[in-house]
Amino acid sequence: MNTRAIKTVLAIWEREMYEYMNNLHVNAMRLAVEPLLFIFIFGMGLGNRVDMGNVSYVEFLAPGILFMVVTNNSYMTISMRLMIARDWDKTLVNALTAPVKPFEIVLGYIFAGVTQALAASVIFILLIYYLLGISFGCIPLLVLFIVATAAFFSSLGVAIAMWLDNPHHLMVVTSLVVMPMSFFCGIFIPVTDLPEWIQPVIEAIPLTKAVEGARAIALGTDPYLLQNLIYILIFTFAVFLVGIHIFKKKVIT
Amino acid sequence: MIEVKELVKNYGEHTAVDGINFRVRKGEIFGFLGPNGAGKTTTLNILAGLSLPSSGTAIIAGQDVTKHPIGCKKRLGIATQDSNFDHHLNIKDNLFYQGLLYGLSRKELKRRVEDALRWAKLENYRKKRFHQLSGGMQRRLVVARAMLSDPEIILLDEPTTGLDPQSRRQVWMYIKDLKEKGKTVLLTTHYMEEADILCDRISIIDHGRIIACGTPDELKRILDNDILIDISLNPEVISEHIEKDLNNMSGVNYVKRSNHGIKIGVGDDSVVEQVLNSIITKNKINGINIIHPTLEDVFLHLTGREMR
Ligand SMILES: Nc1ncnc2c1ncn2[C@@H]1O[C@H](COP(=O)(O)OP(=O)(O)OP(=O)(O)O)[C@@H](O)[C@H]1O
Ligand SMILES: [Mg+2]
Repeated sequence: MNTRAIKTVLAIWEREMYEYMNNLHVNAMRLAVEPLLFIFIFGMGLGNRVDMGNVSYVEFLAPGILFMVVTNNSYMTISMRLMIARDWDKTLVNALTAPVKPFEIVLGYIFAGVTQALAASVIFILLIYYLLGISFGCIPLLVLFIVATAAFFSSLGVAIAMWLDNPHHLMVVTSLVVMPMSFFCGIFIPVTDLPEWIQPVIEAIPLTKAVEGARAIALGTDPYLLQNLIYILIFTFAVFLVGIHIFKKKVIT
Repeated sequence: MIEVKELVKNYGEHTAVDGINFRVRKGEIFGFLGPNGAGKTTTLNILAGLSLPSSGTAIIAGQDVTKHPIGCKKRLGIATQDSNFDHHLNIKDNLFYQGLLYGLSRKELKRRVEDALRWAKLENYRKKRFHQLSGGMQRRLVVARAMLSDPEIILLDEPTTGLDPQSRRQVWMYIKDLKEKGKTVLLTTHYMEEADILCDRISIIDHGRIIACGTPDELKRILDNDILIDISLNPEVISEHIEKDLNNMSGVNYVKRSNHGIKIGVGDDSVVEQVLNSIITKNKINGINIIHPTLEDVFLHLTGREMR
């Protein structure tokens, strides 16, 4: 990448971050309140009745909810913002009249998604640590998983927003595909507790790899961290390429 | 500056641009005149890299738009037909974030944003949102934004559509100012008057084809008769004799009876005087109307229908 490309990525990133900071009060509500609700209702309420062996249910749940936070703060914001930029204020067209390449713009959006997910994760980790005394293990390792997963879901946000032409369809896809993902991918219950026939499918989803990785880091169990990380990154790259492809097809007529 | 050869754009079965050729010279205002759906926006979008041609070439300052999109876009500013302003940002920030994509330093960019706002006489509106501006202000701002990167070529897609006559005239001043600054301007319009007043050269485009190209005067000369003299008088007094006399006069192209008098088509202004002298002295005239040809007539002549 040359300096022009880097400047383009940063320009898009800066615009998105400006928007994010401008709506910090709303974003902060969503960042802090939503995941905490899950922790309190499921973790502390329902959790008392759940037997997870040698860890409490809240300890089991926290790394999972962390990745729900990552998903929401990358996929949701990026897909919405891109759809607005393409269809509503049509600023995407404008950006493309500047000397820039489509993939630089996409990359800028993905960087913004990763940054936002990272910020939300830090807030969540701190809140859980100070409120409940639950720690997440080796943070640098965890950050690698957060970045990879956020990149995956930002790319997915680009691909889906660019593929669909209607904000209502975006909402439907989100609630039928992305939300269930967080319910099945080992966030609330271990994948091994699901019916056997569906387990291979769920195991193949990058989010499952991320949740299992995070849980391994926090609880010190699973040894397949590197494999999981590489698996997520390969998927990210594939979805990124698909996203760029659809982006070009939709925006450059 | 711009050279377009055999450019074709198909949307599925539909051909929006059907093999057009034209050339825009450095420093001129070149007009694309045509009705709705003629293919004006499509052509501009191809030049701006927003659309890919189906075949043919478009060259900007020596570079092919499909092969060197970045190089071409660096020399180009475009004011698209849709205004494309970010509703969440005030107009100053809108210009700022657009300018950021041109790789300028922050200091330089801020200076240019201020210059652009001043040029558009909107420096007191910098904190306003785009939709809070009047139509005329909006168009000025869109043109100013196209100038942010100080490009050599500016594309303006229908810069005055929807404006009242006064605002339109004002925008014209701004477009003339672009030319004075040495910019090459390619604009589209469906206002004949606008093309006539602003443009050095015009292409008339219809159904994706250029049906005529030239200076406004050259285009008007396509018509057989330059000037139409429409005289109202009692039809009974028009004798065969008068008609014959007029027909024999040199410079008169045709003489036709109309239901309120007589219509005479003549070559130029000196003939008008002769004709009037010969008629006024002999008859009682109810009214005289001298009509110089407009681009509207040219369009009518070329396509057999009115533009709107
Ligand atoms: N994205 C598209 N997909 C399909 N058809 C299109 C598309 N864009 C334009 N067209 C068609 O191409 C033709 C030319 O459209 P274009 O927008 O270039 O016309 P125009 O001269 O700019 O008209 P107007 O004065 O209304 O802006 C029209 O028939 C239009 O319906
Ligand atoms: Mg148009």
